[in-house]
Amino acid sequence: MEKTILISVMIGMIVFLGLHLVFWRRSASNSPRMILLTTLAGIGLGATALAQIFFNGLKPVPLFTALWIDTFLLISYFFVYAGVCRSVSVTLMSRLMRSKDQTVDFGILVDEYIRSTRFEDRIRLMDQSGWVQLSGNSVRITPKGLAVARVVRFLSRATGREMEG
Amino acid sequence: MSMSGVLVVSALVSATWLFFVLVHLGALVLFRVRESLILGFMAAAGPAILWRLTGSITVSGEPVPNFLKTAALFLYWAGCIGYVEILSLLSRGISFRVLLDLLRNNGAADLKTLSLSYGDGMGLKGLLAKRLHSLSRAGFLHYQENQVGPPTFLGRLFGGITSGMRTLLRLQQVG
Repeated sequence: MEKTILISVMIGMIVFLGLHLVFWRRSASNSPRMILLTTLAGIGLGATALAQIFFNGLKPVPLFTALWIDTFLLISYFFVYAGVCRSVSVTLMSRLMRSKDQTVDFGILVDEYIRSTRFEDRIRLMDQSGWVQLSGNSVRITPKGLAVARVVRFLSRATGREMEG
Repeated sequence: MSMSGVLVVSALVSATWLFFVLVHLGALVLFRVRESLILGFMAAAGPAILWRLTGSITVSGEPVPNFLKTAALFLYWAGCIGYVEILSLLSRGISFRVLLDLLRNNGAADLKTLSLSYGDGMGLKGLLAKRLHSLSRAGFLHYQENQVGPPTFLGRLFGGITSGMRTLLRLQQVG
């Protein structure tokens, strides 16, 4: 039974990663597309469940064993993906590795970052999410953004941390 | 073992996770203990307790099978990773920080002001310096005064994998 559980988990992950790769390769985007990624994760879990039902029938123990292991792998991937997708540290590391002797002056790094559209892109994504309204160079917080900001401020204080950014 | 056994194990996983989240929050707010210590404790002690708990119960006279006990640990760790991700967003999320900056600025600002006053006035330059210090502390690169780099072996590995993933997934204009 353990072998069929592992096979089911692998099938779910292969379906998820395969679809993820196909969708992401088909069109480049600045958006992390988290809703689409979550839908694909759901399809992956469905594939695991179907494979498990095929192997062992509708037995709850092997079915949930496979689903829980799959959930762990998916959440781990989401964690890595969030970093790869949005992390400034990753951007800095890849910039460093592109330079000739793998060193760069801090001033140049700052200058390049400020001249790039990365910050504006982020504001544009926030505009698409309905958190802010961007018109020309002016940014205004929306009622939805205000609600998010208040929740974030509350949670930051409740968890004893400063929202540093 | 039937569905009721699975439900009992899920309840134990949830209770253990919730207990350690509360311990973590309590330790952070009341005692200001170093965060990584408590998170490490949460990731290691939680599974040990969970393993003992699931080993000590029987549902309808049947013990919990070992592979369900193992899967319960994975589910618990999934919860820990989700929790760490939320904490990380709450302290380092750039979009959240921009919202708070806007809130301090009566809800509106132009792009240039936002980038200059980002993070309570540290600006984008301060953001980059902060990230570089973190990378240096984590042993990914050398960073002294104005010279950034070279990366360490760990940094090259990290940079190589993450840049490769960005290229593979066509995520070039982000971060």
